[in-house]
Amino acid sequence: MVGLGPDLYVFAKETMFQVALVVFVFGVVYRLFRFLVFWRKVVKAEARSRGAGKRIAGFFKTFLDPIIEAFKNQPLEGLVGLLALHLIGLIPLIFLMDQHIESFNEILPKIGGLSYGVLAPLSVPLGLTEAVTAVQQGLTITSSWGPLIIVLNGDVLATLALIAIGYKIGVKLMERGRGIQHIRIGDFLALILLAGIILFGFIAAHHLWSGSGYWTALGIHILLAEILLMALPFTKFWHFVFGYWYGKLHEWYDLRVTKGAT
Amino acid sequence: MEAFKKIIEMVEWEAFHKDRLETGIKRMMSRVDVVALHFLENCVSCALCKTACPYYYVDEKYSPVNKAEEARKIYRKELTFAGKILGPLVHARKPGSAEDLDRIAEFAYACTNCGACYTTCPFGIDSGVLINHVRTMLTTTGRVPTILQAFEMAELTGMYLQVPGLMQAWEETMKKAAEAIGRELPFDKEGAEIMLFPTLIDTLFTPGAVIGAIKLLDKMGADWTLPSKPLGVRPPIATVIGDTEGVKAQLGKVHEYLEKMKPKKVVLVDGGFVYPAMRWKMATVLGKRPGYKVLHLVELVYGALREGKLKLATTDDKVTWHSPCQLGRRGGVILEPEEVMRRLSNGYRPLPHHGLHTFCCGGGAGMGCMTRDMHEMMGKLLGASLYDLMGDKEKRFLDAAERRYRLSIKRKMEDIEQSGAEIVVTACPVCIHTIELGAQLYGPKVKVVHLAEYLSEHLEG
Ligand code: SF4
Ligand code: SF4
Repeated sequence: MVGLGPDLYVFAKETMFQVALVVFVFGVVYRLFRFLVFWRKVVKAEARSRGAGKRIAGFFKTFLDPIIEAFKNQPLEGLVGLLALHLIGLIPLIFLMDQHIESFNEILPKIGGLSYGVLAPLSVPLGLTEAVTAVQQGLTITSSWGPLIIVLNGDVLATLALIAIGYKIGVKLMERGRGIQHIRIGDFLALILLAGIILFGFIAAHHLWSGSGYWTALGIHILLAEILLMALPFTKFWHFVFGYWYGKLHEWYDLRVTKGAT
Repeated sequence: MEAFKKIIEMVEWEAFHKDRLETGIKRMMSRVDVVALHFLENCVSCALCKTACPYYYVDEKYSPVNKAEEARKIYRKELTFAGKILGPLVHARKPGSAEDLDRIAEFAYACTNCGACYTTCPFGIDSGVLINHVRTMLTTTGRVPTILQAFEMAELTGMYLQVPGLMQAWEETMKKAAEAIGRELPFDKEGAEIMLFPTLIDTLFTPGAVIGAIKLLDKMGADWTLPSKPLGVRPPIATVIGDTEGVKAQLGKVHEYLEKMKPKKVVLVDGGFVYPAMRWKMATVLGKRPGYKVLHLVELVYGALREGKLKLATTDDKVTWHSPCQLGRRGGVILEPEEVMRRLSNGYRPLPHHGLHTFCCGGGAGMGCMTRDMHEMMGKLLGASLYDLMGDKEKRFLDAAERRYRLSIKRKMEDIEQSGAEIVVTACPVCIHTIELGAQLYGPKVKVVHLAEYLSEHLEG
């Protein structure tokens, strides 16, 4: 029986991590295999070539256009959904926060002699207070973000992400209330899971629960993150691993490379 | 009349036939390939695509993602484990009643297949394609607009060739074209460099474009020919109702004729769905690349202007170019018309939303046919009232579809108004019809003209 406190932490960090990893790998293989099953060899029309320059420019436009369109047509969605939730929210929070870089460096294998630790110069500090103090006192800021760490720190990023999640839940609830059918239970569960991970991470990082409570909070934080890892291949989180990249590359190949749309 | 009886048998707006539904779902699922799988599975429900869609402005429920959810619900139930086990909990559900089919038809016929959602979605998800998949299922169940089913039948059976009302438009256009160039038209000439490819709809709705195209070819001194009879109503019209077998059959027939004639280039007048079907789908459907190149007339003109084979007299017209979604966004022909228009008029101005991000007019994929006027006009030409073939429910569907269609045009008209243009040049008969209707409904009072006709009015010398 796993108790709370250090027990839970060890269980999350060791046993559960192994399980999560197996489920994740199985899921990825399954999803990719599924894609292959649906692949059919077809004859394609001759492409219209507009030259390499247009294709390269088209590559960047394919990725950038939807972002530009989002900010133009739905600025709040752009700010909250793209900026606060992704670009200056979850992505740096998950991948660049000091403690996360350390943990990932420990867990992840080296690829071609490169460890996750190479991202250390891009790391963002955990707390707002230490960031402000460092900037105010003109201390040497080790992060290559310089004074930007006033924004790029765990506290601010987590707050932004939580606001974005709250906003998203609110908007989706209202849309569901108006009978919009594409809003699903899974959308809410995904957002609640993210919020849970951030909240428990925050509690642990600031030692808001003292004594063994710290280990409980950290254990829950890790467990929830492992649920996310397991859910990745089977839920909308897959967009991050595969869907986004495949989708944009396909669109680029279809519209810019083959059809020559400029 | 035999063919009309067959249409009545196929169209079914009242009942719910489980066996037809199952066949429809099978046909729909057979269209799922790796790309469609991406469209089905990788949507995150962010709704960033909604503002791209002309029908979103009619009602938010017609956003691309909300309409495509109908495809996803069926897909989840049919092809995912979670859907099979958990059903409605994970929004996996097959239509279970006549009302379900009615709702799905309402969504499926609030889409022009313009592809604006495709380029706006951060994941490159093409909801228009999924909605066309839904139409495949609907057509099999019989929830298909009579007018579109009638066109498809007329095309696939070749019946259109026997309808005097339709063929008269073709013959008159050809007669006028011959007069315009002062000689007989070179019909069915084997081995010509260029085969002009006008459709029956071109001669019905934009005869000036066909005549203009012929004048342009004549002026270029090209070695050209054209079919003595139209190779379809608007081939492959089956694409509009998601009938993939029909698309294959009609493209096959067109190819058979073209292969016999051996032109080097096939030049289209229509910049609607005929273009991507002939240019991009033909090879896939045939399973081989055809021996001829398919071009839109504007591509030919663009080349001829650059090579100095054609000269245009410059004007100061306050003119703009409306890029038909099928020619531009779906077909890739964006650069050529803009360049041709720029060369032609000192007063040319692009629309605020142009190129890949052009606003759809709201009329494509059969939406422009959903009007009482169009039914009356077509009824007269076919010699049979389309209304008499319809039940009350379909009439109600049609009236609602017409209301949506009229509202969907508004955004395009605002864009045109902002440009300050007095003339809108485009290349699709449905865009012309739709923007003309928009000008009557909302202004500005612009003149709308097909590119071929407009260019032919500005030939030098
Ligand atoms: S923009 Fe793309 S991912 Fe977002 S809801 Fe629309 S189709 Fe889905
Ligand atoms: S294809 Fe066009 S009309 Fe259809 S859903 Fe997408 S944006 Fe809307």
